[in-house]
Amino acid sequence: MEWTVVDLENGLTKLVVSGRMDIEGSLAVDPIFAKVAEEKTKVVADISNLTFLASLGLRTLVRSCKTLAAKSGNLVLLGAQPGVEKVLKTSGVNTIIPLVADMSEAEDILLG
Amino acid sequence: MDPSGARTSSFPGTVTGVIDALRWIETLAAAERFPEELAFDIQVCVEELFSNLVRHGGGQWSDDPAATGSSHTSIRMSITVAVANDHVIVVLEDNGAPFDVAAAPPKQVDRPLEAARPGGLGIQLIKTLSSELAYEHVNGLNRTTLKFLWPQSSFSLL
Repeated sequence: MEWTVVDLENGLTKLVVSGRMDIEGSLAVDPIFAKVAEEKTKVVADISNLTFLASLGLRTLVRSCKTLAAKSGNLVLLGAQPGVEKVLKTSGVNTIIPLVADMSEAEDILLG
Repeated sequence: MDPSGARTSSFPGTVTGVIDALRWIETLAAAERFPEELAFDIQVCVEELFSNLVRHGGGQWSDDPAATGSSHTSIRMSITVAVANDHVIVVLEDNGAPFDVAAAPPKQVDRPLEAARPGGLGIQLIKTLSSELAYEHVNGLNRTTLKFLWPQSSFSLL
């Protein structure tokens, strides 16, 4: 797993994650999501280079979303690949964390 | 199911073992030219079942035995894959704590968000991504048999 955190000029934070959120990847990136959720408010998780996602990764995403929501923040997921999107929709996580195709869509949701 | 041509490998009940199992599936899927969707679905189900074993079934959550305070090297998990014309059968066996995944209730994330609990989503994934699922406890082993149909098209989104 690889990740970067970028604070954008419009006030959004972009967390870019690449690789596989399997059991190993999820363990590695969970603290990063937790830290970003604690410290930031409006977060775009760019998952366009995320090639695998299972329930441990879903836990990370849901917990981060709840942390942000508790302080009126928000999280969106950008650029899900087909398999990852299927996991998000099968689990229903897409009903609480919006899936967006591009930054414009992300900004519409987060900056409203 | 014709067992000839079925391939089997076993792995320790550790985080590394789960990763190695997924890599083994990836390699086999590439060799058998599985569609991407099929390979993905199988890996998700294997990850779910084996990581559950590691986390809850007596496996070793840390690859450092000292960190867990005891040796869990006796926990093993195996995968057998048999490829047929229009489906793939995956049999997962382990000697961990008995766990009947077929009887476990599937769960989706709840709305509203405040009520959503982050855990327990793996069963939903396993039961949706596989077309058939059977469980038996035989000779001290959990045996979960999954059937995956060969997809007729590329990823079909819900």
